[in-house]
Amino acid sequence: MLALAATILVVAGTAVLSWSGLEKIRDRSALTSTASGLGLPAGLAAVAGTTVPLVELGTVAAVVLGAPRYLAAVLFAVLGLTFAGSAVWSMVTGRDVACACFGASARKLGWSQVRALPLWLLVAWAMTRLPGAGFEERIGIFAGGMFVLAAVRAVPAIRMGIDARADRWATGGN
Amino acid sequence: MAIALLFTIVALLAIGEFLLFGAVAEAYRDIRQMREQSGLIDRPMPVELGPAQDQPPSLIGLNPSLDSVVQAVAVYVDSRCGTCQSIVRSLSGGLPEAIWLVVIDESAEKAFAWLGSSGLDQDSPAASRVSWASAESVERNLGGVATPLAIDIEHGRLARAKIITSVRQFYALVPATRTLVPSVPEGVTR
Repeated sequence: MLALAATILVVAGTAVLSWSGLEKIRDRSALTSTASGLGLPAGLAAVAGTTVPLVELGTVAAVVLGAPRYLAAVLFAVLGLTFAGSAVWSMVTGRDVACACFGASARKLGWSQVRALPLWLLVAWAMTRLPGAGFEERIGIFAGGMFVLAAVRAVPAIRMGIDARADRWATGGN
Repeated sequence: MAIALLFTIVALLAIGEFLLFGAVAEAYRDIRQMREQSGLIDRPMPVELGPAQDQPPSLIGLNPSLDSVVQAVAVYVDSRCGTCQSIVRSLSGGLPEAIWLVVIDESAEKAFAWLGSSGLDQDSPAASRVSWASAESVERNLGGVATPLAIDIEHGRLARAKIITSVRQFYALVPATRTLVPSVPEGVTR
């Protein structure tokens, strides 16, 4: 039972990091802008804009490739602390900063990231309790999960495409 | 080993797909932003009803039976407006339920001659929801009107008005209509 709960938690945490890491690496400007908004100098903000998504994807890779469990657990915890710490810093200093959690977004850094910290720590703990599994099994779950994420990502793109086509037709195009 | 390789390929393809759909969604957001800046978004433009707000439809010259409908839409069209022509062409002899058409023209004959070109004849059942108004009477009742103008009627009152900019919006107007007076099946007496 504990093994199943740990697996579910780690899969969920990995899915979240896969989505956010890939979105941030595709467009690093949003996170760079957030880092600047938090007061980092331009150079450091650019580094943060690249480093954070790489650490997120590195955590995913650590889970999938079967790196030592404590390494992935530490990475989950560090990321959770980074997100929550950024949110606390933005609130303490009164900075109104976009969260860029899953790429460019109008949502602000704030209590949501602080509330998510216990969940990240829980995932980190779950990582240490993850039952042993072969690479074939892990990559299989990851491939299936990525396929689902891609399908979910496709939905808004297709909807926006339909809207754009309707706008084009409505304004005289064909 | 072969299965692991296969899963790896699937995972890499799924990652590529994820990134591509993200890029496509962003491209559509860019297009929408540009269209919004250029005013090329297919979105109705709200119009103030002024003193006619919350008044019964018959007060502005609409069919008095509209004073007792739960929900309906009166659409003012003019043969000189391009979108109105597209709307009328799309009717193909019918008129969606709960849509009432008001043709702004010089005479009822001219109005029905125009509608007739799309197959909507004066004798057709849908024609009972078509009326004619002169530009002067519309001006008198509603002030300056840009067409096609849609006026939502709710519970027998003029609720809101908007200019619709496309055929798609015209069909999106169609409400679920009910009359305040319950219909009584034939042969049943109250």
